[in-house]
Amino acid sequence: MKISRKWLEDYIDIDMSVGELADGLSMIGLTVDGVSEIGSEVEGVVVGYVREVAMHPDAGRLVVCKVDVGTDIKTIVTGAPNIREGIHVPTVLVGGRLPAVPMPGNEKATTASWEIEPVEFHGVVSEGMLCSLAEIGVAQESMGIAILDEIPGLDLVPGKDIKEVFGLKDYVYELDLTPNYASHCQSYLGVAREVSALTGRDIKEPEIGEYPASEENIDDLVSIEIKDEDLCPRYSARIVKGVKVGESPLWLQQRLEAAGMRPINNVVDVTNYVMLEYGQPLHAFDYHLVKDGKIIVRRAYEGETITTLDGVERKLGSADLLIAGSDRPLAIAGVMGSLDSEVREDTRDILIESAHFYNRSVLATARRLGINSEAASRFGRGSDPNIVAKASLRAADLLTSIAGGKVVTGIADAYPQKALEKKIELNGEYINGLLGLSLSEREMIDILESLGFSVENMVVIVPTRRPDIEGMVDLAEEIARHYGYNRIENRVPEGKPADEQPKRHLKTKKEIRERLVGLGLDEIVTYSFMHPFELKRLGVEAGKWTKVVKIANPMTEDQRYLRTTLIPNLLHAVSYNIRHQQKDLAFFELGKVYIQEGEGLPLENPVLGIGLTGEFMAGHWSKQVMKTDFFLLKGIVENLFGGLHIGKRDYQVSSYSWYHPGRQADIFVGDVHIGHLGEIRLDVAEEYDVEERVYVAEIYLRQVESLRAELFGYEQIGRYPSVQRDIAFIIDASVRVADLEKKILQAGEPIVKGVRLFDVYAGKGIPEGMHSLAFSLIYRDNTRTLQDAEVEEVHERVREILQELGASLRS
Amino acid sequence: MEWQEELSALKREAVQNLKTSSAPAELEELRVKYLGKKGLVTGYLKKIKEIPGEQRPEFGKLVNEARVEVENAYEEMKLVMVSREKELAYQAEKIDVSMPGLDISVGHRHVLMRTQEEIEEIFAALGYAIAEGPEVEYEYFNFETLNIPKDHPARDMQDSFYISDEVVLRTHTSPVQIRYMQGHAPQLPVKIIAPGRVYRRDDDVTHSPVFHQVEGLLVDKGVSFADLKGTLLHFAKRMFGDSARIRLRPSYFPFTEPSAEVDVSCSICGGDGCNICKGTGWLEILGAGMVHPKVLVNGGYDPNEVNGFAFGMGIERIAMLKYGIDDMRLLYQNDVRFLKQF
Repeated sequence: MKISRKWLEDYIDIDMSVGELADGLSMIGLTVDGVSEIGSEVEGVVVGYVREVAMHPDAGRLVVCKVDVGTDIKTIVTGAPNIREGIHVPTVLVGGRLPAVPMPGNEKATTASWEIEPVEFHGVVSEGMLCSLAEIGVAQESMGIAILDEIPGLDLVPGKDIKEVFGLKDYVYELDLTPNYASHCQSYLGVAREVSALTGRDIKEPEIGEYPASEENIDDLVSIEIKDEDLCPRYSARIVKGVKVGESPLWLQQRLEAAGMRPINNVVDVTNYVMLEYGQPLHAFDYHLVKDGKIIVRRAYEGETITTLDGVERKLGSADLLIAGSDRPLAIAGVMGSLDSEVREDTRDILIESAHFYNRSVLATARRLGINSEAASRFGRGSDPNIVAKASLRAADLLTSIAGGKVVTGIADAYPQKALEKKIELNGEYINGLLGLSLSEREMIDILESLGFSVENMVVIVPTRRPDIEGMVDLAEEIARHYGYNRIENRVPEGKPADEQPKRHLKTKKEIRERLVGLGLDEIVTYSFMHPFELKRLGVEAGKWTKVVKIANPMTEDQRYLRTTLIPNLLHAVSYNIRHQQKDLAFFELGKVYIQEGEGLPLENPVLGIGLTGEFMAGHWSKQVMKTDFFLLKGIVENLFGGLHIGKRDYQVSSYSWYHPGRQADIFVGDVHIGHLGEIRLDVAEEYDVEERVYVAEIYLRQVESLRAELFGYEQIGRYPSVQRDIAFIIDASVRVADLEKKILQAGEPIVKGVRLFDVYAGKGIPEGMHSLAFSLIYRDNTRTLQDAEVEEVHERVREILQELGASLRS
Repeated sequence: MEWQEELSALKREAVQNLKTSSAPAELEELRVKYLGKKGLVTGYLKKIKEIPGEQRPEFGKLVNEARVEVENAYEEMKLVMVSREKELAYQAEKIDVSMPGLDISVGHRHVLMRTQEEIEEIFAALGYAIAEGPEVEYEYFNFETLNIPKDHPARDMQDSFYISDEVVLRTHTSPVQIRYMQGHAPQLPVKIIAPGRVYRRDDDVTHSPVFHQVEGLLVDKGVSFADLKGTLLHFAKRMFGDSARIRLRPSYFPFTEPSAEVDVSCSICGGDGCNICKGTGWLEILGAGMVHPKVLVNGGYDPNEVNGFAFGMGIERIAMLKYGIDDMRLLYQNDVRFLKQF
């Protein structure tokens, strides 16, 4: 809502500066988003009196004028066709400024604001310029220079600042109203009431004067039938006959424009003006387009259509309320009128609708139809059923003074059940307790009364214009915001801490984050969405997509699904960085995947995703570069699992469609599947514009959590020396190293304490399909020092076992 | 007394030569020359035959003393040589210390997670537990129980992603309030923060369809708006520094009443007004209020017995203010050049 300060001052005297009023409004909850100054771009424009007009000696279409600008007589050249002697014209002097105006023929473009310089026209220097109304920002468009004498009510003295003449100088406050204040503050009087409570000054309501009345009786002209009193508790109509539809006077146009509304014609403008004053939307019908003067307020028939003012045909349903004639719909109640019942140039007799509609019904209809009208915005927030008659009378009065005509006596008013004022008991102790204050009852009552509530015997009577006030907490808020939120003490509450163990999986998540960061990985955060293509890109068969959670109203196609895997977003992050010349990447994300299992809410599974590519810890002149590969990834993953103290992991060959068929594995602890890792297939990476090798792991954190021991003990450090023996052999490459390690440990029981692979070689000197492996074995007994002979005996056993497995020993 | 003078001269010469020797080899030569088996000093004792009898004890003593003195000079010099040797070895290993240090690439927490952890720690120290709830949520918990019925005007404020008629992507972390209270009633206090992802149909420079919030809720006997203010001021000081101040402006949330928007004094200009705070000296950081009685009832508590306050903040917003990040998109682009700064 835009509030013109000057207009607001019609209803309340304000002795605050521009900024003070803005702050004051914000601090009582009417948030001021910004203040703009009107007329600031017009500088150095004064009233000029044209004393003399002479033909330009050398240019036939121009004239040279002598213009009295108060202090001086200026020579000004113009080509305006409507120039003549003896008129007053807005005159911009050298050094003055004019505002930016729309470029002719292009609604969106504007000129820059500009400064006036002396200009020579064929030998005659013009010391300024005569202006049109558009040029000084008073009208949207205008023909020729402005002849001020033709505009009634202006005080024309040569040299007087044009901004004073037109009352151009004003400030517009842009209010961002929350839904509760929108019910009573979407009007000048509403805002004035809040300012009144803030400053203690009284508000001044518009005076309704003596208006010309017609002899006719309203009841002979109009009948109203409300078929749904729930949706329309009140409907009233007034009639003004014999108006002359035309352009509104300048002051009215200016005010509407300051409030952000476009002037239409004097009838529509008056209804809008009064809506802005009282917050009561009004609608003007051409009386003769209402068949027999009969108005029916009813729900629309299923599928009934109406073409609204904006030229769009709307299809309605039985939830929508209509204002209808006996022959056709006239308006969607509270939302928008129909095109064929609107006021036209030849309209003479006006029916002014003033009504009250159930706010949620208006809101639902407006939202469904996508109509964001000023009327719907006010009815939708809850209007005052008891302002209906006053507002339409004000409009009728204003209309006759602007557009002529006579007001038909009386009002046709269907108001079957008068809305009663709510009564709420005022419990001072409760309010003080809630706010942390110790106000007296008197102080509370003073605040409430300043807002127009009345209080009798500690019972608050809520005016019907405040539908937002439902109970005691609402009163507490009124008291708090007008007492001042910032005057309330700041107090850190005493009290017990939450009696609850920190959740273990949250600690786990934190530990994982710390460890991976320590290992050199950067954390990424990506959206929870997934393009429907992603699973296809990963090569997942369409039949397996059934568990995807689909968004019914996504904003874009790549946000249609919730992700079932972190891999696509990891690859997008890798791709983004490679495209930006960042090739060495080590990423992880701790995020959720979403899987629909049966009915109800989907599973939200916490997952760790890791992605590596390029060089790891790259970039020092003195060090060898480490390329990322499968075993670096496995090393990171193993380091993580080791730190989390879960059982021994087993890596089993897997067959995921997005991984290199020979470089991928499922990770198990016992029979719990805790994730997978592998090298992304090159053709999958290409789908993401990545040519590099990318290594990815996904770890299922819920499964990992289930394997973590509550506590873990430490292992005693061996007190007796250990003996290291190496063993190297050639063996078929298909024998899994993990199996060999297991055999070695079994064979060396109980004194083999560790086995570590330290060399792998294949190639020259090694038969095809074989490779050479070298292991380092640690022998130790925790109770005594081992003798060489017994180590030799056990080591020999290990050698034998390996030979049984087909190894040919090299040492 | 010729021999005395001769001995004295020999001793002086030996000590002088030893002390001026410049290399270990020369020192060794001198040692052999003076202190070797046939050395000049050691060998001098042989002259005892030429010494008159009564002078011999005296001679023996003085020669011995001279030997010790020369030996000491040698030992002393040897130490000097060794340390000089070491020094030279060090010199040979000299490096250019202006060359760059090893680029130890420790990883980086994402700025959003770092900020979230920071917020969690501040409230953990005040005794708040961390609660969680689903992101894919029933409308019932996201709206209805929070005093936002179907046709309520407040639903205009949040345009939601729908999964089905009854299921939405939660638009705020507030449904965790209800879920937690229902699981906890009638125990007191309810003292939680609930961080997590939330979703709204918004996408521009200052909005992202996915973003993170931290919800806070305290329900107990005698909790007041003053307690809310004190808690938020404490938070602001821990997050933005001791000079931080807060300002509350009345606002509207269906699930709190009274409600407030909370501003923190601009950390860039200290409240004097700058570009970041658009000249106001204040930056909006969160929404808060006293838990609406209907919400307390929905959570299983009696509003006549207990009060509560709740607040909700956007982690993106806090992170952007704290680190001066001016473009929301940076937070989800995952550009390593950005990630590595935190």
